[in-house]
Amino acid sequence: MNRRVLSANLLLPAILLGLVCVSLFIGRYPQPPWMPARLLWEDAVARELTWQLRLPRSCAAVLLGMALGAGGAVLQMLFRNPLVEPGFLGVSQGAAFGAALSILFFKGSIVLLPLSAGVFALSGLALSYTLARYLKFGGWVMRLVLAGIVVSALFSAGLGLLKSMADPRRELPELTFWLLGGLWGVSWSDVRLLVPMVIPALLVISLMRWRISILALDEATAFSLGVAAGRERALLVAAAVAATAAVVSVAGMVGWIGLLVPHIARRLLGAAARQSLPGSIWLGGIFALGCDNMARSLTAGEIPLGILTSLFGALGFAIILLRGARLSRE
Amino acid sequence: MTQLGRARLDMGRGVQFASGRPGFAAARMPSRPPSVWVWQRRERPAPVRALNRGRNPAAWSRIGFSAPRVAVAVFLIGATLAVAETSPLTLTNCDGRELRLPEPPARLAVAGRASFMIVHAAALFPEARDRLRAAAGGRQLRGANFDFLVRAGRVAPDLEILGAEVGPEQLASRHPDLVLLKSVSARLGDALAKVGIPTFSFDLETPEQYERELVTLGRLLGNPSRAEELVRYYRECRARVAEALAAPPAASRPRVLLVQASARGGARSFSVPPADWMQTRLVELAGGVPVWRAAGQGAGWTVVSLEQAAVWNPDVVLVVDYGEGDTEMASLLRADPVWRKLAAVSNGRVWTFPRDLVTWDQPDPRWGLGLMWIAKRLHADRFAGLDLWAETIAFYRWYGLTETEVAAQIKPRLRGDWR
Repeated sequence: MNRRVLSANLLLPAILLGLVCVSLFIGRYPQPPWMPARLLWEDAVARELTWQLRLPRSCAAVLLGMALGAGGAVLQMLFRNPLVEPGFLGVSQGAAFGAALSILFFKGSIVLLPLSAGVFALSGLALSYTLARYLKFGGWVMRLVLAGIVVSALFSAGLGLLKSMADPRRELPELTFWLLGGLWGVSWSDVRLLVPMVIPALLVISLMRWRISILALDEATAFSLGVAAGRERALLVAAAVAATAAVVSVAGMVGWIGLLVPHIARRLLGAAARQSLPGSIWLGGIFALGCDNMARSLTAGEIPLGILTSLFGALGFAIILLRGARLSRE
Repeated sequence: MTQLGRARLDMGRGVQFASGRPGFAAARMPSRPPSVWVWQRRERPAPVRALNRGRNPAAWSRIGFSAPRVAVAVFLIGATLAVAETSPLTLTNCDGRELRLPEPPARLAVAGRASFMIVHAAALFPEARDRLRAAAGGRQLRGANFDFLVRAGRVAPDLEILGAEVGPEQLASRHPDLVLLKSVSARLGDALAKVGIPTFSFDLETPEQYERELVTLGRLLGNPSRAEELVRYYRECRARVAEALAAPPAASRPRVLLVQASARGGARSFSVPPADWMQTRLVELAGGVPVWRAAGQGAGWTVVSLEQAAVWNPDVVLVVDYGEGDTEMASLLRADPVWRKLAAVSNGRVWTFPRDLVTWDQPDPRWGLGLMWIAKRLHADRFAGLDLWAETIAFYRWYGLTETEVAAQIKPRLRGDWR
């Protein structure tokens, strides 16, 4: 491991930890944007807000960013496509469809909404995978991408139908806000739901990061290098999608993290998975937490998190592309 | 002809007035819809009968009344009314645009977002039954709401309820003379204008707009007198609340947070209405200070966090639940460790907005009841004599319901902290 990678792998977790600590004091109480630390001892409301609201929300934001960053990095490398993100296998659209179904027909039950979103997210993956197996042309990666597009489109159509049926005064605003993504309703119970899904998935991905570069090779080459490519790829994809489904079921549709963060990590740490993947995980956490801090403290009303991640994600992506173009000219 | 026919039927019912009811219910409300006596006064040939029953026939003949002249006069009055019935109608949209119709519309459709508000307002007029032919509707127009309006005779059983997102093509196929929309559905109005279907926009978002637009609705439905009666009722609601608050002036106006609680957000997050919506105005009229005014600058409900609620630290929290109006959300707030620290919760001043068929906070005919409920909650000492049940009975007379019918049809549906 070169010095740059080593220092990044020490620095990024430290930055993330520092940001989590700072986040506990960022907010609108008692005055935006900063709460003096002494209020933790002096003000009971400030104490409750910090432990019951800001801390679980910050934890959820970190888990969200880590899951999407890792998922994006894994899928981009496995599918050898830099435009892939965790949602592309029908996962995000499936989760959105499941959530909308729950909001419309089960009154957005706290238990049923994430459950329904999670079930439909995994159904999206299962459908994409099954459909890809039955396609008769192209390589495995191409078939999976095409199947993912088809399944996403089907769920999008279903989602559109549900939106047209929603009560504009009651259900549609909730649905719209959920589709734009946000951590406004997160409590410790959500964090308890996320941890057993996201942490094992991240562990699997981290432990297998040494294999990803080989798995990205074509079937024959990977096999000749002694890798059971199909099984290992399936395990990695399942881990990435399970983590994504879990965070989407809690936070709604939060775009761009899975696309942008792996690109930044590769720029910073190099293209090899064993170097850039941990970077993606830490950077994902930092990016999501930074955006969420702004979402909850910039205005009296919540700004949907998906709007901020899209805004900064798109800007960041444009900067990366422009820098890439300049470097290639030089 | 249909209206004249119904007017004659109505004439036989006579005129009854409520009397001796406590609080607001003792207001000057007719027990039948006021159109009954309005129609009597206008169309029954009362002047002729009065002349014939005159105490001094000689005096009448001295000023030139005779049977042929009276017949001519009656003919002229009838002809005038007939012409008025088919004369062009000029109305002003909520955005100031004028709409000219060659004759009063016989086939009305209601479409666009929150169309149930227009349907419920139109249903205050008995004429809506024959003229409303189709309406786009979500849950607040279907099911029990629709059944109630049909049973009350305010919409026809065959009123076609279209999908909530009905488009110009589906509407055109119903051949409406006019489509009524909320102003937020201006795009649909533009699309309908392109296929030659006139539209009329309502705001119906504040008490003032509501009263103004009831007058327009009265003209559209051919019953302006009914509209005047309705406006008088709502103004009286406002005036009685204002009077109770004014003398002597309320010492302190409680800081109120009205929230639409989301089941998804649990007790942790909720939405507040825009500053220019009915809910905000109702809190102001009821003598409260809406603390969310600065946050509610959008076009719809704005999600805010519990942290923001802690910053506002309201004296009173009013919870709106557009689901079943259950008090579960208020219970959640009372149990939440952070909410418990806020003044409203620790003082036990968290209440769920009442609802029967719909929640009383909306720009729906029930907003008068909503105003009185808030006022009583915020200033219990000043509204001790206000009996909300009597007010509910009085309100439902606009739909022709008797006290027994209100008790049978409405009372079982009352939810929230309405008592």
